[in-house]
Amino acid sequence: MRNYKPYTQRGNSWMVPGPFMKWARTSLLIQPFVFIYYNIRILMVMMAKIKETDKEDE
Amino acid sequence: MARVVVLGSGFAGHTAAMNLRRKLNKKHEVVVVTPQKKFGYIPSYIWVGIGKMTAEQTQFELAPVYKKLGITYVQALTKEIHPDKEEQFIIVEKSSDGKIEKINYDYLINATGPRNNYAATPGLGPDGFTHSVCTPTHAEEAAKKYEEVIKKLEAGEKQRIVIGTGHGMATCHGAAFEYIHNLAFDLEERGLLKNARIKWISNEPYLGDFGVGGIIVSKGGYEISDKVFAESSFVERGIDWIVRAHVKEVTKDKIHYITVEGEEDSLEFDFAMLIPAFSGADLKYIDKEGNDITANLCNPSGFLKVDADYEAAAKGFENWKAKDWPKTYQTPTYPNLFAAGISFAPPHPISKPLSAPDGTPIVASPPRTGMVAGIIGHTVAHNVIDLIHGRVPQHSASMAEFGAACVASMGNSLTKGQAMAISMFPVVPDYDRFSTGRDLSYTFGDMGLAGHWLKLILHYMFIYKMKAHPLWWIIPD
Repeated sequence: MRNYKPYTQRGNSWMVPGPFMKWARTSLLIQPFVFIYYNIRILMVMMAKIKETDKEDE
Repeated sequence: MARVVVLGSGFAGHTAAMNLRRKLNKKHEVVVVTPQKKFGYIPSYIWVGIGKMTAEQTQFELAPVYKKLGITYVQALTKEIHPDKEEQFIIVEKSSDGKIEKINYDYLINATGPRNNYAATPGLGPDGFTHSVCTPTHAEEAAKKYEEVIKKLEAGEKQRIVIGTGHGMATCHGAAFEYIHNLAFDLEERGLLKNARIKWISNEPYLGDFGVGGIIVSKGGYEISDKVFAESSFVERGIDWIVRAHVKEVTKDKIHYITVEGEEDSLEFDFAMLIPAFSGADLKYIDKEGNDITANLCNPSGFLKVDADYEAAAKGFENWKAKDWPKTYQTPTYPNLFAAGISFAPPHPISKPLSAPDGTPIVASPPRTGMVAGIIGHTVAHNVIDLIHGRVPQHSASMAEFGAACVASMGNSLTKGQAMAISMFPVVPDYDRFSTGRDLSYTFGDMGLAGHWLKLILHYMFIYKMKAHPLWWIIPD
Protein backbone atom coordinates (compact mmCIF):
# COMPACT_ATOMS: atom_id res chain seq x y z
CA MET A 1 0.00 0.00 0.00
CA ARG A 2 1.42 3.35 -0.96
CA ASN A 3 0.03 6.82 -0.46
CA TYR A 4 0.06 9.60 -3.08
CA LYS A 5 0.80 7.45 -6.11
CA PRO A 6 1.94 9.69 -8.98
CA TYR A 7 -0.70 10.46 -11.62
CA THR A 8 -3.66 9.16 -9.62
CA GLN A 9 -6.69 10.86 -8.15
CA ARG A 10 -5.72 12.60 -4.91
CA GLY A 11 -9.12 11.61 -3.56
CA ASN A 12 -7.83 8.07 -3.22
CA SER A 13 -5.17 9.12 -0.72
CA TRP A 14 -5.07 9.06 3.06
CA MET A 15 -3.81 11.25 5.85
CA VAL A 16 -0.21 10.36 6.72
CA PRO A 17 2.08 11.89 9.36
CA GLY A 18 4.79 14.29 8.24
CA PRO A 19 8.37 14.29 9.58
CA PHE A 20 7.54 16.49 12.60
CA MET A 21 4.64 14.32 13.72
CA LYS A 22 6.73 11.15 13.30
CA TRP A 23 9.45 12.70 15.45
CA ALA A 24 7.04 14.05 18.04
CA ARG A 25 5.29 10.70 18.51
CA THR A 26 8.44 9.10 19.91
CA SER A 27 10.26 12.20 21.18
CA LEU A 28 11.59 11.79 24.72
CA LEU A 29 11.23 15.56 25.14
CA ILE A 30 7.54 15.66 24.33
CA GLN A 31 6.18 12.27 25.34
CA PRO A 32 6.54 12.67 29.14
CA PHE A 33 4.09 15.59 28.92
CA VAL A 34 1.83 13.55 26.62
CA PHE A 35 1.96 10.77 29.23
CA ILE A 36 0.63 13.16 31.90
CA TYR A 37 -2.04 14.36 29.46
CA TYR A 38 -3.18 10.77 28.73
CA ASN A 39 -3.43 10.03 32.44
CA ILE A 40 -5.54 13.12 33.07
CA ARG A 41 -7.85 12.29 30.13
CA ILE A 42 -8.32 8.70 31.25
CA LEU A 43 -8.94 9.75 34.87
CA MET A 44 -11.57 12.19 33.60
CA VAL A 45 -13.38 9.37 31.79
CA MET A 46 -13.28 7.12 34.83
CA MET A 47 -14.75 9.86 37.01
CA ALA A 48 -17.38 10.95 34.51
CA LYS A 49 -20.97 10.09 35.24
CA ILE A 50 -24.03 10.67 33.15
CA LYS A 51 -26.45 12.87 35.07
CA GLU A 52 -30.09 13.32 34.31
CA THR A 53 -29.42 17.04 34.17
CA ASP A 54 -26.98 16.67 31.27
CA LYS A 55 -28.08 18.63 28.28
CA GLU A 56 -27.97 17.41 24.75
CA ASP A 57 -25.10 18.97 22.85
CA GLU A 58 -27.08 19.21 19.68
CA MET B 1 -25.19 -17.12 56.04
CA ALA B 2 -25.21 -16.86 52.24
CA ARG B 3 -23.04 -18.65 49.72
CA VAL B 4 -22.15 -16.63 46.62
CA VAL B 5 -20.72 -18.70 43.80
CA VAL B 6 -18.77 -16.97 41.02
CA LEU B 7 -18.22 -18.95 37.82
CA GLY B 8 -15.05 -17.84 36.10
CA SER B 9 -11.84 -16.11 37.11
CA GLY B 10 -11.27 -13.59 34.32
CA PHE B 11 -11.56 -9.82 34.62
CA ALA B 12 -15.28 -9.93 35.53
CA GLY B 13 -15.28 -13.02 37.77
CA HIS B 14 -12.05 -12.27 39.63
CA THR B 15 -13.05 -8.62 40.20
CA ALA B 16 -16.51 -9.70 41.44
CA ALA B 17 -15.05 -12.30 43.83
CA MET B 18 -12.43 -9.90 45.26
CA ASN B 19 -15.00 -7.17 45.86
CA LEU B 20 -17.53 -9.56 47.35
CA ARG B 21 -14.95 -10.85 49.80
CA ARG B 22 -13.85 -7.35 50.71
CA LYS B 23 -17.36 -6.00 51.30
CA LEU B 24 -19.22 -9.04 52.66
CA ASN B 25 -19.20 -10.12 56.29
CA LYS B 26 -16.99 -13.18 56.82
CA LYS B 27 -20.03 -15.27 57.84
CA HIS B 28 -20.95 -15.33 54.14
CA GLU B 29 -19.01 -17.63 51.85
CA VAL B 30 -17.57 -16.60 48.47
CA VAL B 31 -16.75 -19.50 46.14
CA VAL B 32 -14.96 -19.23 42.79
CA VAL B 33 -15.47 -22.13 40.40
CA THR B 34 -13.14 -22.05 37.42
CA PRO B 35 -11.27 -24.59 35.31
CA GLN B 36 -8.32 -22.17 35.26
CA LYS B 37 -5.31 -22.63 37.49
CA LYS B 38 -3.98 -19.18 36.67
CA PHE B 39 -5.28 -15.68 36.08
CA GLY B 40 -4.24 -14.39 32.68
CA TYR B 41 -3.78 -10.71 31.85
CA ILE B 42 -5.31 -10.96 28.38
CA PRO B 43 -4.32 -7.48 27.05
CA SER B 44 -0.66 -8.58 27.03
CA TYR B 45 -1.21 -11.81 25.08
CA ILE B 46 -0.51 -9.85 21.89
CA TRP B 47 3.07 -9.40 23.12
CA VAL B 48 3.31 -13.13 23.86
CA GLY B 49 2.16 -13.73 20.28
CA ILE B 50 5.20 -11.97 18.81
CA GLY B 51 7.67 -13.30 21.38
CA LYS B 52 8.11 -9.99 23.23
CA MET B 53 6.79 -11.39 26.50
CA THR B 54 6.55 -14.89 27.95
CA ALA B 55 3.19 -16.40 28.84
CA GLU B 56 4.43 -16.64 32.44
CA GLN B 57 4.79 -12.87 32.63
CA THR B 58 1.07 -12.50 31.91
CA GLN B 59 -0.15 -15.05 34.45
CA PHE B 60 -0.16 -15.94 38.14
CA GLU B 61 -1.51 -18.80 40.26
CA LEU B 62 -5.03 -18.21 41.58
CA ALA B 63 -4.89 -20.55 44.62
CA PRO B 64 -2.54 -18.41 46.81
CA VAL B 65 -4.56 -15.26 46.07
CA TYR B 66 -7.86 -16.87 47.01
CA LYS B 67 -6.31 -18.43 50.12
CA LYS B 68 -5.02 -15.01 51.21
CA LEU B 69 -8.43 -13.39 50.65
CA GLY B 70 -10.48 -16.19 52.24
CA ILE B 71 -12.25 -17.18 49.03
CA THR B 72 -13.07 -20.85 48.46
CA TYR B 73 -11.43 -21.93 45.21
CA VAL B 74 -12.79 -24.89 43.28
CA GLN B 75 -10.83 -25.77 40.17
CA ALA B 76 -13.56 -27.32 38.08
CA LEU B 77 -15.54 -26.90 34.89
CA THR B 78 -19.21 -26.03 35.36
CA LYS B 79 -21.43 -28.36 33.35
CA GLU B 80 -24.94 -27.53 34.56
CA ILE B 81 -26.79 -24.80 36.43
CA HIS B 82 -30.00 -25.74 38.27
CA PRO B 83 -31.56 -22.35 39.08
CA ASP B 84 -35.06 -23.37 40.29
CA LYS B 85 -36.04 -22.19 43.76
CA GLU B 86 -36.40 -25.52 45.62
CA GLU B 87 -32.70 -26.35 45.49
CA GLN B 88 -30.28 -24.19 43.56
CA PHE B 89 -27.01 -25.80 42.62
CA ILE B 90 -24.41 -26.26 39.93
CA ILE B 91 -22.86 -29.47 38.64
CA VAL B 92 -19.13 -29.30 38.12
CA GLU B 93 -16.40 -31.58 36.83
CA LYS B 94 -13.30 -31.33 39.03
CA SER B 95 -10.11 -30.59 37.12
CA SER B 96 -7.97 -32.75 39.42
CA ASP B 97 -9.74 -36.11 39.06
CA GLY B 98 -12.68 -35.55 36.70
CA LYS B 99 -15.18 -36.28 39.46
CA ILE B 100 -18.66 -34.80 39.13
CA GLU B 101 -19.72 -32.69 42.12
CA LYS B 102 -22.72 -30.67 43.17
CA ILE B 103 -22.27 -27.20 44.70
CA ASN B 104 -25.27 -25.40 46.23
CA TYR B 105 -25.56 -21.66 45.96
CA ASP B 106 -27.68 -18.79 47.24
CA TYR B 107 -26.40 -16.31 44.66
CA LEU B 108 -24.69 -17.12 41.38
CA ILE B 109 -22.62 -14.92 39.09
CA ASN B 110 -21.94 -16.34 35.64
CA ALA B 111 -18.64 -14.81 34.51
CA THR B 112 -17.50 -17.75 32.43
CA GLY B 113 -16.36 -15.51 29.58
CA PRO B 114 -16.22 -16.53 25.95
CA ARG B 115 -15.59 -19.83 24.27
CA ASN B 116 -13.39 -19.49 21.21
CA ASN B 117 -15.74 -20.81 18.56
CA TYR B 118 -13.19 -21.89 15.95
CA ALA B 119 -15.67 -24.48 14.69
CA ALA B 120 -17.85 -21.68 13.25
CA THR B 121 -15.26 -21.25 10.48
CA PRO B 122 -13.94 -24.47 8.92
CA GLY B 123 -10.14 -24.60 9.03
CA LEU B 124 -9.81 -21.73 11.53
CA GLY B 125 -7.70 -21.91 14.68
CA PRO B 126 -4.70 -23.74 16.07
CA ASP B 127 -6.26 -27.11 15.15
CA GLY B 128 -6.74 -25.77 11.63
CA PHE B 129 -4.46 -23.52 9.62
CA THR B 130 -4.47 -20.19 11.46
CA HIS B 131 -3.25 -18.93 14.81
CA SER B 132 -4.79 -16.79 17.54
CA VAL B 133 -3.73 -14.86 20.63
CA CYS B 134 -6.86 -15.62 22.65
CA THR B 135 -5.13 -17.86 25.21
CA PRO B 136 -1.52 -17.95 26.45
CA THR B 137 -0.96 -21.34 24.78
CA HIS B 138 -2.34 -20.14 21.47
CA ALA B 139 -0.26 -16.95 21.71
CA GLU B 140 2.89 -19.02 22.31
CA GLU B 141 2.06 -21.15 19.26
CA ALA B 142 1.57 -17.97 17.22
CA ALA B 143 4.97 -16.72 18.41
CA LYS B 144 6.64 -19.97 17.30
CA LYS B 145 5.12 -19.70 13.85
CA TYR B 146 6.11 -16.03 13.70
CA GLU B 147 9.72 -17.03 14.44
CA GLU B 148 9.61 -19.33 11.39
CA VAL B 149 8.30 -16.41 9.32
CA ILE B 150 11.21 -14.24 10.51
CA LYS B 151 13.73 -16.93 9.56
CA LYS B 152 12.26 -17.14 6.06
CA LEU B 153 12.28 -13.37 5.70
CA GLU B 154 15.91 -13.28 6.84
CA ALA B 155 16.66 -15.86 4.16
CA GLY B 156 15.23 -13.44 1.59
CA GLU B 157 11.91 -15.21 1.05
CA LYS B 158 8.68 -13.23 0.65
CA GLN B 159 6.06 -13.91 3.30
CA ARG B 160 2.31 -13.27 3.19
CA ILE B 161 0.83 -12.39 6.57
CA VAL B 162 -2.90 -11.97 7.25
CA ILE B 163 -4.24 -10.60 10.55
CA GLY B 164 -7.83 -9.82 11.58
CA THR B 165 -11.07 -11.56 12.41
CA GLY B 166 -11.96 -15.06 11.27
CA HIS B 167 -15.75 -14.83 11.20
CA GLY B 168 -18.49 -12.40 10.20
CA MET B 169 -19.72 -12.16 13.81
CA ALA B 170 -16.33 -11.91 15.54
CA THR B 171 -15.33 -9.26 18.06
CA CYS B 172 -12.07 -8.23 19.79
CA HIS B 173 -10.83 -6.22 16.81
CA GLY B 174 -8.60 -4.30 19.19
CA ALA B 175 -6.44 -7.37 19.86
CA ALA B 176 -5.99 -7.99 16.13
CA PHE B 177 -5.27 -4.28 15.58
CA GLU B 178 -2.57 -4.42 18.27
CA TYR B 179 -1.11 -7.63 16.89
CA ILE B 180 -0.79 -6.38 13.31
CA HIS B 181 0.90 -3.15 14.46
CA ASN B 182 3.28 -4.93 16.84
CA LEU B 183 4.18 -7.38 14.11
CA ALA B 184 4.80 -4.59 11.59
CA PHE B 185 6.85 -2.67 14.17
CA ASP B 186 8.95 -5.74 15.00
CA LEU B 187 9.60 -6.49 11.33
CA GLU B 188 10.58 -2.88 10.70
CA GLU B 189 13.00 -2.98 13.64
CA ARG B 190 14.55 -6.11 12.15
CA GLY B 191 14.71 -4.53 8.70
CA LEU B 192 12.42 -7.22 7.28
CA LEU B 193 9.25 -5.27 6.55
CA LYS B 194 10.04 -4.89 2.84
CA ASN B 195 9.70 -8.60 2.12
CA ALA B 196 6.53 -9.03 4.17
CA ARG B 197 3.14 -8.49 2.58
CA ILE B 198 0.85 -7.77 5.52
CA LYS B 199 -2.90 -7.68 5.05
CA TRP B 200 -5.81 -6.98 7.39
CA ILE B 201 -9.20 -8.65 7.03
CA SER B 202 -12.13 -7.94 9.32
CA ASN B 203 -15.89 -7.84 9.64
CA GLU B 204 -15.87 -4.17 10.63
CA PRO B 205 -17.99 -1.85 8.46
CA TYR B 206 -14.86 0.29 8.13
CA LEU B 207 -11.36 0.38 9.55
CA GLY B 208 -11.42 1.73 13.11
CA ASP B 209 -14.96 0.61 13.95
CA PHE B 210 -13.68 -1.80 16.67
CA GLY B 211 -17.21 -3.14 17.24
CA VAL B 212 -18.22 0.07 19.03
CA GLY B 213 -19.51 1.86 15.96
CA GLY B 214 -16.27 3.79 15.60
CA ILE B 215 -15.31 6.84 17.58
CA ILE B 216 -15.59 10.52 16.74
CA VAL B 217 -12.87 12.60 18.39
CA SER B 218 -12.28 16.32 18.56
CA LYS B 219 -8.89 17.20 17.11
CA GLY B 220 -7.47 20.44 15.79
CA GLY B 221 -10.89 22.05 15.96
CA TYR B 222 -12.47 19.33 13.83
CA GLU B 223 -14.73 16.43 14.76
CA ILE B 224 -12.98 13.50 13.08
CA SER B 225 -13.79 9.79 12.76
CA ASP B 226 -11.12 7.44 14.09
CA LYS B 227 -11.34 5.80 10.65
CA VAL B 228 -9.04 8.59 9.41
CA PHE B 229 -6.41 7.72 12.02
CA ALA B 230 -6.74 3.94 11.67
CA GLU B 231 -6.36 4.13 7.88
CA SER B 232 -3.47 6.56 8.24
CA SER B 233 -1.70 4.15 10.57
CA PHE B 234 -2.14 1.24 8.12
CA VAL B 235 -0.98 3.31 5.14
CA GLU B 236 2.07 4.53 7.06
CA ARG B 237 3.14 0.93 7.65
CA GLY B 238 2.25 -0.28 4.17
CA ILE B 239 -0.54 -2.55 5.39
CA ASP B 240 -3.40 -3.23 3.00
CA TRP B 241 -6.90 -3.98 4.30
CA ILE B 242 -10.19 -5.68 3.52
CA VAL B 243 -13.21 -4.82 5.65
CA ARG B 244 -16.90 -5.87 5.68
CA ALA B 245 -15.73 -9.45 5.20
CA HIS B 246 -16.83 -12.81 6.56
CA VAL B 247 -14.22 -15.58 6.46
CA LYS B 248 -16.09 -18.61 5.13
CA GLU B 249 -13.32 -21.17 5.28
CA VAL B 250 -9.59 -21.51 5.69
CA THR B 251 -7.65 -24.11 3.76
CA LYS B 252 -3.94 -24.89 4.00
CA ASP B 253 -2.71 -21.61 2.55
CA LYS B 254 -5.87 -19.74 1.58
CA ILE B 255 -8.48 -17.70 3.41
CA HIS B 256 -11.79 -17.77 1.57
CA TYR B 257 -14.06 -14.81 2.25
CA ILE B 258 -17.18 -13.00 1.13
CA THR B 259 -17.82 -9.28 1.54
CA VAL B 260 -20.93 -7.18 2.03
CA GLU B 261 -20.55 -6.10 -1.60
CA GLY B 262 -20.76 -9.77 -2.65
CA GLU B 263 -17.13 -10.16 -3.63
CA GLU B 264 -16.06 -13.78 -3.09
CA ASP B 265 -12.32 -14.19 -3.14
CA SER B 266 -9.42 -15.77 -1.32
CA LEU B 267 -6.22 -14.54 0.29
CA GLU B 268 -3.06 -16.61 0.15
CA PHE B 269 -1.05 -16.66 3.36
CA ASP B 270 2.04 -18.08 5.02
CA PHE B 271 1.06 -16.94 8.50
CA ALA B 272 -2.38 -15.86 9.70
CA MET B 273 -3.64 -14.70 13.08
CA LEU B 274 -7.42 -14.49 13.01
CA ILE B 275 -9.66 -13.89 16.04
CA PRO B 276 -12.55 -16.40 16.07
CA ALA B 277 -16.21 -15.74 16.81
CA PHE B 278 -17.06 -16.04 20.50
CA SER B 279 -19.86 -18.04 22.05
CA GLY B 280 -21.01 -18.63 25.60
CA ALA B 281 -19.49 -21.29 27.84
CA ASP B 282 -20.57 -24.83 27.09
CA LEU B 283 -22.95 -25.30 30.02
CA LYS B 284 -26.64 -26.14 30.41
CA TYR B 285 -29.41 -24.64 32.48
CA ILE B 286 -31.75 -27.34 33.85
CA ASP B 287 -35.14 -26.75 35.53
CA LYS B 288 -36.61 -28.72 38.44
CA GLU B 289 -38.27 -31.23 36.09
CA GLY B 290 -34.93 -31.92 34.47
CA ASN B 291 -35.72 -30.01 31.27
CA ASP B 292 -32.98 -28.16 29.43
CA ILE B 293 -34.01 -24.47 29.59
CA THR B 294 -30.77 -23.06 28.15
CA ALA B 295 -32.53 -21.77 25.02
CA ASN B 296 -35.00 -19.81 27.19
CA LEU B 297 -32.32 -18.16 29.30
CA CYS B 298 -29.57 -17.59 26.74
CA ASN B 299 -29.31 -16.02 23.29
CA PRO B 300 -28.42 -18.26 20.30
CA SER B 301 -24.68 -17.75 20.99
CA GLY B 302 -25.08 -19.06 24.53
CA PHE B 303 -24.76 -15.76 26.41
CA LEU B 304 -27.06 -15.27 29.43
CA LYS B 305 -29.94 -12.84 29.02
CA VAL B 306 -30.13 -10.21 31.76
CA ASP B 307 -32.09 -6.99 32.34
CA ALA B 308 -31.62 -5.70 28.78
CA ASP B 309 -34.39 -4.98 26.26
CA TYR B 310 -33.96 -7.91 23.88
CA GLU B 311 -37.04 -6.87 21.87
CA ALA B 312 -35.12 -3.77 20.74
CA ALA B 313 -32.97 -5.73 18.29
CA ALA B 314 -35.91 -6.15 15.93
CA LYS B 315 -36.55 -2.39 15.84
CA GLY B 316 -33.54 -1.85 13.59
CA PHE B 317 -30.24 0.01 13.92
CA GLU B 318 -31.79 3.49 13.56
CA ASN B 319 -34.08 2.85 16.54
CA TRP B 320 -31.58 1.37 18.99
CA LYS B 321 -31.35 3.33 22.21
CA ALA B 322 -29.06 3.59 25.21
CA LYS B 323 -31.85 2.28 27.45
CA ASP B 324 -31.76 -1.08 25.63
CA TRP B 325 -28.56 -1.96 27.52
CA PRO B 326 -28.62 -3.77 30.89
CA LYS B 327 -27.93 -1.96 34.15
CA THR B 328 -27.89 -4.48 37.01
CA TYR B 329 -27.06 -7.67 35.03
CA GLN B 330 -29.70 -9.57 36.99
CA THR B 331 -31.61 -12.25 35.08
CA PRO B 332 -35.35 -11.51 34.95
CA THR B 333 -36.43 -15.10 35.73
CA TYR B 334 -34.03 -15.85 38.58
CA PRO B 335 -33.24 -12.74 40.71
CA ASN B 336 -30.24 -14.41 42.37
CA LEU B 337 -28.60 -15.24 39.03
CA PHE B 338 -26.37 -12.62 37.39
CA ALA B 339 -24.08 -12.48 34.36
CA ALA B 340 -20.91 -10.40 34.19
CA GLY B 341 -18.37 -9.53 31.51
CA ILE B 342 -18.60 -11.28 28.17
CA SER B 343 -21.10 -13.79 29.59
CA PHE B 344 -24.08 -11.41 29.42
CA ALA B 345 -26.06 -11.29 26.19
CA PRO B 346 -25.97 -7.81 24.63
CA PRO B 347 -29.38 -6.63 23.40
CA HIS B 348 -27.97 -5.97 19.93
CA PRO B 349 -24.66 -4.95 18.33
CA ILE B 350 -23.31 -1.41 18.67
CA SER B 351 -21.98 -1.27 15.10
CA LYS B 352 -24.35 -1.17 12.16
CA PRO B 353 -25.22 -4.75 11.19
CA LEU B 354 -24.56 -5.64 7.57
CA SER B 355 -24.90 -8.79 5.50
CA ALA B 356 -23.56 -10.32 2.33
CA PRO B 357 -25.89 -10.68 -0.69
CA ASP B 358 -26.36 -14.36 0.24
CA GLY B 359 -27.68 -13.29 3.67
CA THR B 360 -24.53 -14.08 5.65
CA PRO B 361 -24.52 -11.66 8.60
CA ILE B 362 -21.42 -9.49 8.79
CA VAL B 363 -21.60 -7.70 12.12
CA ALA B 364 -18.78 -6.52 14.34
CA SER B 365 -19.94 -7.82 17.73
CA PRO B 366 -19.68 -5.51 20.75
CA PRO B 367 -16.53 -5.91 22.86
CA ARG B 368 -17.10 -6.49 26.59
CA THR B 369 -13.61 -7.28 27.74
CA GLY B 370 -10.98 -5.63 29.98
CA MET B 371 -12.13 -2.46 31.69
CA VAL B 372 -15.77 -3.01 30.73
CA ALA B 373 -15.72 -6.54 32.20
CA GLY B 374 -14.05 -5.30 35.38
CA ILE B 375 -16.61 -2.51 35.90
CA ILE B 376 -19.52 -4.91 35.32
CA GLY B 377 -18.00 -7.54 37.67
CA HIS B 378 -17.57 -4.88 40.38
CA THR B 379 -21.15 -3.66 39.95
CA VAL B 380 -22.63 -7.16 40.01
CA ALA B 381 -20.76 -7.88 43.27
CA HIS B 382 -22.42 -4.83 44.84
CA ASN B 383 -25.83 -5.87 43.53
CA VAL B 384 -25.45 -9.33 45.08
CA ILE B 385 -24.54 -7.63 48.38
CA ASP B 386 -27.69 -5.52 48.04
CA LEU B 387 -29.77 -8.70 47.70
CA ILE B 388 -28.06 -10.34 50.68
CA HIS B 389 -28.94 -7.26 52.76
CA GLY B 390 -32.57 -7.47 51.63
CA ARG B 391 -32.43 -4.55 49.19
CA VAL B 392 -33.22 -4.50 45.49
CA PRO B 393 -30.05 -4.18 43.35
CA GLN B 394 -29.17 -0.50 43.45
CA HIS B 395 -25.96 -0.42 41.42
CA SER B 396 -25.99 0.31 37.73
CA ALA B 397 -23.31 -0.18 35.09
CA SER B 398 -24.95 0.28 31.73
CA MET B 399 -22.44 0.37 28.91
CA ALA B 400 -24.46 3.37 27.69
CA GLU B 401 -23.73 5.21 30.95
CA PHE B 402 -20.08 4.60 31.71
CA GLY B 403 -16.95 5.30 29.76
CA ALA B 404 -13.93 3.16 29.03
CA ALA B 405 -10.30 3.64 28.19
CA CYS B 406 -8.33 1.44 25.86
CA VAL B 407 -4.62 1.48 25.14
CA ALA B 408 -3.84 -0.36 21.91
CA SER B 409 -0.17 -1.26 21.59
CA MET B 410 1.47 -0.48 18.25
CA GLY B 411 5.05 -1.44 19.05
CA ASN B 412 6.86 -2.78 22.08
CA SER B 413 9.92 -0.64 22.81
CA LEU B 414 10.59 1.75 25.70
CA THR B 415 12.05 4.42 23.41
CA LYS B 416 10.61 3.70 19.95
CA GLY B 417 7.32 1.91 20.72
CA GLN B 418 3.89 3.43 20.32
CA ALA B 419 0.33 2.83 21.37
CA MET B 420 -3.03 4.34 20.58
CA ALA B 421 -4.67 5.71 23.71
CA ILE B 422 -8.43 5.91 23.35
CA SER B 423 -11.11 6.88 25.80
CA MET B 424 -14.81 7.02 25.06
CA PHE B 425 -17.80 8.12 27.05
CA PRO B 426 -20.13 6.34 27.02
CA VAL B 427 -19.11 3.00 25.49
CA VAL B 428 -22.46 2.59 23.72
CA PRO B 429 -23.30 5.73 21.74
CA ASP B 430 -26.30 7.65 23.03
CA TYR B 431 -27.60 9.78 20.17
CA ASP B 432 -30.41 11.19 22.32
CA ARG B 433 -27.81 12.95 24.48
CA PHE B 434 -24.89 13.58 22.14
CA SER B 435 -25.00 14.38 18.43
CA THR B 436 -21.91 12.24 17.80
CA GLY B 437 -23.15 9.52 20.18
CA ARG B 438 -20.51 10.32 22.78
CA ASP B 439 -19.41 13.24 24.92
CA LEU B 440 -16.55 14.85 22.99
CA SER B 441 -15.10 16.41 26.14
CA TYR B 442 -14.31 12.91 27.43
CA THR B 443 -13.79 11.01 24.17
CA PHE B 444 -10.32 11.26 22.73
CA GLY B 445 -7.74 9.30 20.76
CA ASP B 446 -4.04 9.81 20.22
CA MET B 447 -0.98 7.73 19.42
CA GLY B 448 2.58 7.95 20.64
CA LEU B 449 5.34 6.56 22.82
CA ALA B 450 3.53 7.71 25.97
CA GLY B 451 0.76 5.27 25.09
CA HIS B 452 3.24 2.41 25.18
CA TRP B 453 4.47 3.48 28.62
CA LEU B 454 0.86 3.59 29.76
CA LYS B 455 0.14 0.12 28.39
CA LEU B 456 3.22 -1.27 30.14
CA ILE B 457 2.30 0.37 33.45
CA LEU B 458 -1.26 -0.96 33.16
CA HIS B 459 0.17 -4.48 32.72
CA TYR B 460 2.08 -4.37 36.01
CA MET B 461 -0.56 -2.34 37.86
CA PHE B 462 -3.41 -4.72 37.02
CA ILE B 463 -1.41 -7.82 37.84
CA TYR B 464 -0.58 -6.14 41.20
CA LYS B 465 -4.28 -5.47 41.73
CA MET B 466 -5.46 -8.92 40.69
CA LYS B 467 -2.90 -10.50 43.04
CA ALA B 468 -4.70 -8.60 45.82
CA HIS B 469 -1.56 -6.91 47.07
CA PRO B 470 -1.96 -4.12 49.68
CA LEU B 471 -4.46 -1.39 48.77
CA TRP B 472 -5.47 -3.25 45.59
CA TRP B 473 -8.97 -1.79 45.77
CA ILE B 474 -7.66 1.75 45.19
CA ILE B 475 -6.72 0.81 41.62
CA PRO B 476 -9.74 1.44 39.36
CA ASP B 477 -11.33 -1.41 37.37
